[in-house]
Amino acid sequence: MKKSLLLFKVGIALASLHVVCAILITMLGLSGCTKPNLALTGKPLEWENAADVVSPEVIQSMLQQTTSIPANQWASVPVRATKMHGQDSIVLLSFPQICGQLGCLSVAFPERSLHPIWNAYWNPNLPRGIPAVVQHNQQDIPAFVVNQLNGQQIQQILYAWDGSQYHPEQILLNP
Amino acid sequence: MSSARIPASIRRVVAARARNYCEYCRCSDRFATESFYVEHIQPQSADGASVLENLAWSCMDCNGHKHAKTQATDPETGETVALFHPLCLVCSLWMISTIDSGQTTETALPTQIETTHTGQSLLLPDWSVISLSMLPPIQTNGQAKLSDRSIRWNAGQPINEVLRLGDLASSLHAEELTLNLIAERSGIAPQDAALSQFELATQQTIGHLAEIVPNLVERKISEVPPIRELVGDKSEQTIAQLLVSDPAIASRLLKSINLDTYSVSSIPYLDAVPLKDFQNWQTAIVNQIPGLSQVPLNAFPQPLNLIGSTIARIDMIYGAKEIKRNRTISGSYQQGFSVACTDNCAYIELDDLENTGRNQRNRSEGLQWISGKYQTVDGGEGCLAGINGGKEPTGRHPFGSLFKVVVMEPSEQSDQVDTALYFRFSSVCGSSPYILGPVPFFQYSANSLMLIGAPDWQATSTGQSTPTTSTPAEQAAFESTDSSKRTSLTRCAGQTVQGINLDRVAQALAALESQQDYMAVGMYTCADDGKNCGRALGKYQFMPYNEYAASVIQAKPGGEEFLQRVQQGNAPSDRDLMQFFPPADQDQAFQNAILDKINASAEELDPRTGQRFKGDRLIERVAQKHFGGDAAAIDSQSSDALGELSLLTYGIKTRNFYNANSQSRC
Repeated sequence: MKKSLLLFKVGIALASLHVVCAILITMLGLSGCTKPNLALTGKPLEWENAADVVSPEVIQSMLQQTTSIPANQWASVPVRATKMHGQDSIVLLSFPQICGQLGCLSVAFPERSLHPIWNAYWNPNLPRGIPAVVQHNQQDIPAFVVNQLNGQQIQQILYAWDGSQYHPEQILLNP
Repeated sequence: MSSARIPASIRRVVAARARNYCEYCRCSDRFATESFYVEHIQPQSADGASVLENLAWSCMDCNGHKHAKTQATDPETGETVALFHPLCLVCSLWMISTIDSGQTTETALPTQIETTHTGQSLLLPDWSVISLSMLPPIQTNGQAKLSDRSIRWNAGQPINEVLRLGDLASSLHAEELTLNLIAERSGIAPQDAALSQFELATQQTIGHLAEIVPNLVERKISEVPPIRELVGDKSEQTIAQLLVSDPAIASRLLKSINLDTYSVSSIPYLDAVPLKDFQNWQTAIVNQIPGLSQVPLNAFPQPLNLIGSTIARIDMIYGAKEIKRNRTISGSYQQGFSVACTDNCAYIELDDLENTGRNQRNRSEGLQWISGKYQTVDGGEGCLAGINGGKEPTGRHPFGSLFKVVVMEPSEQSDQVDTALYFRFSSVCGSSPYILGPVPFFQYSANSLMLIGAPDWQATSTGQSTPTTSTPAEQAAFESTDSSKRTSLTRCAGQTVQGINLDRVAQALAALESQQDYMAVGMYTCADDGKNCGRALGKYQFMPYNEYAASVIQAKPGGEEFLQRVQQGNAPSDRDLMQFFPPADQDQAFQNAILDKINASAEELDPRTGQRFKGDRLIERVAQKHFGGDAAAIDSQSSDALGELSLLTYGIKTRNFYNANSQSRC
């Protein structure tokens, strides 16, 4: 009984210490990583399991159009999805296991059509706290920014709609 | 006398070289209560330089007692004598002779002593100290006619005045270094050298410098004094604006002005440029790259080190009248290391360490290392294989491919034998035989122990040899001849899979990627919602969870723990990378990945032909998979993140690089 009481007290003490440290770290801004001030900002997109965002047929259609994966394996391919909102909502699909030296495959298409309007590989390896993709504005067809690691710097690529597809409108390096 | 200005990287090298023992009193820093110092053997007050060969690891007491002294009074004789020099050769020899009386090994190079399992001592070169500038000069005149130029060398000339950066590429990966790294590893500051001494830089055009020097184009002309002098009064323009307003300036060579008055640091970040980014880096003479000659040979991106650890005792020394010797351990990469000798077979006979006579027939009993002064063998690779008639002195490579160790003149009268080093010339398409030498190395007497390296003579075939009575350099009948009939290991004639040369396709793929140093370590990053984290490692920026990288790292003792540390964010040091993921393993992991893609792609049907991928189309498909992953759509229009190139274009460009490489190099 005495032993368990002692352990309980030690546990409380450690927990208190942990909380105090967490408060201090938060107050003093002493977290291990320094979040850089990125020039291009926006709303980080929240990725979900694709099956919760679009129908299986849509996913299969995109796999058929953009990969060489045989139909009998489509169901087992991990896919993440998110939406960018504007007058026309744009769906982004990300395939975290279809990756090469350029990064992993992503596809964007209007919610009301199955035609890809952006189809690119980007590297998902980023410092903690840096979102991979942010929605830059909420125009009719929204623009978005892809953050990439370039050496020790963050490279930002702003994709904007040019009337037929997304194209890189601005590319910049953050110190 | 110590100094607080020694960089941490040099401290680590000095401590590791001393194995953490004080180099004066031999006490260990692990049990010391006070910090150890990096001590200047020749004090700075007496112009002692902060270079590795003048630095010693010292405890506080020894450091304090010695201070700035180099001499002291001998308490027994009253004479003034020089203080003990921890790196001096004579001291090492003294230690050897007191431990193993009657067995002497001599050399002019810094050494270290290894103790064998039998308790005997072996003197080895200390590559953590020895740099190219410390090697003795070449002993004889010679010349070689390469495909693009003739090279002559003279007796007495230092080796670093003859070797070029390209000659160090395959063995040391020297071209991966920057001047910053050279400074870190040599202990000198090449940035302070006159810009004119960095001859490779002076031969660059302004346009090329603008491409390779970080942020140079964004600088104002006034911030870069040599360019300001070159272009005159346009100081407020940036260099980018200058190149637009006056395109002709891009083709001006930096050396078109007098650069004696400018230091290397007068061009900001010139010291951050990898040597391989300079045009014609292969032809730069080693001593014309500030500091490179002073980098210890095991501090290069591919360090010089022991290849195998077989040690033998010299049992007998025989002169040139011997004939028909078949149990040899000498030869060449081309003929193997068991090349028989027919006549003029001067040699040393080797024995196991335990065996002191000929009564027992053990593993090394009676093995023969034939003198390369008297026997030549086939050498050279690729387009340079025909130089010197394709011949080089017979010998061995206990320290890798940078040089060959050759037994020179075994003397029955003195019971002594000297060895020498021979170097070779290299280009992108091959290497000459080892003909640049002899550079004196170690001298042994009977009963000395010597390192003979890996037991490679057991696996190689006995070939034909050519007796000769002069060294290859003395023959000087060097011609560049047709090498197409020769079969040898070359970069251009590497492993072929499904009709694709693995080396060449790897080179073609690498040409399309941003190049990294073998010692590059990326920022700590995470992917997949934080499930996969780590730092990209090495030239190919493998993440620690990459299956090809992980498999070679895990195969090493402690490799699993190393991977875990990297995945948790630990930044490995150069030494860690050398231990767990050295350049050769990085190349191997990369090639393994490509090999799998070639084999898998060769099984796929090409929609353009309806047949399996082969030839040029197979190369394109392999490239598409490399850049886009194994599941990438065939001829996909998916682009890179910058929207610059599609997978289809990556494939075409890779195929073009591959074929251009084929036509121009092999």
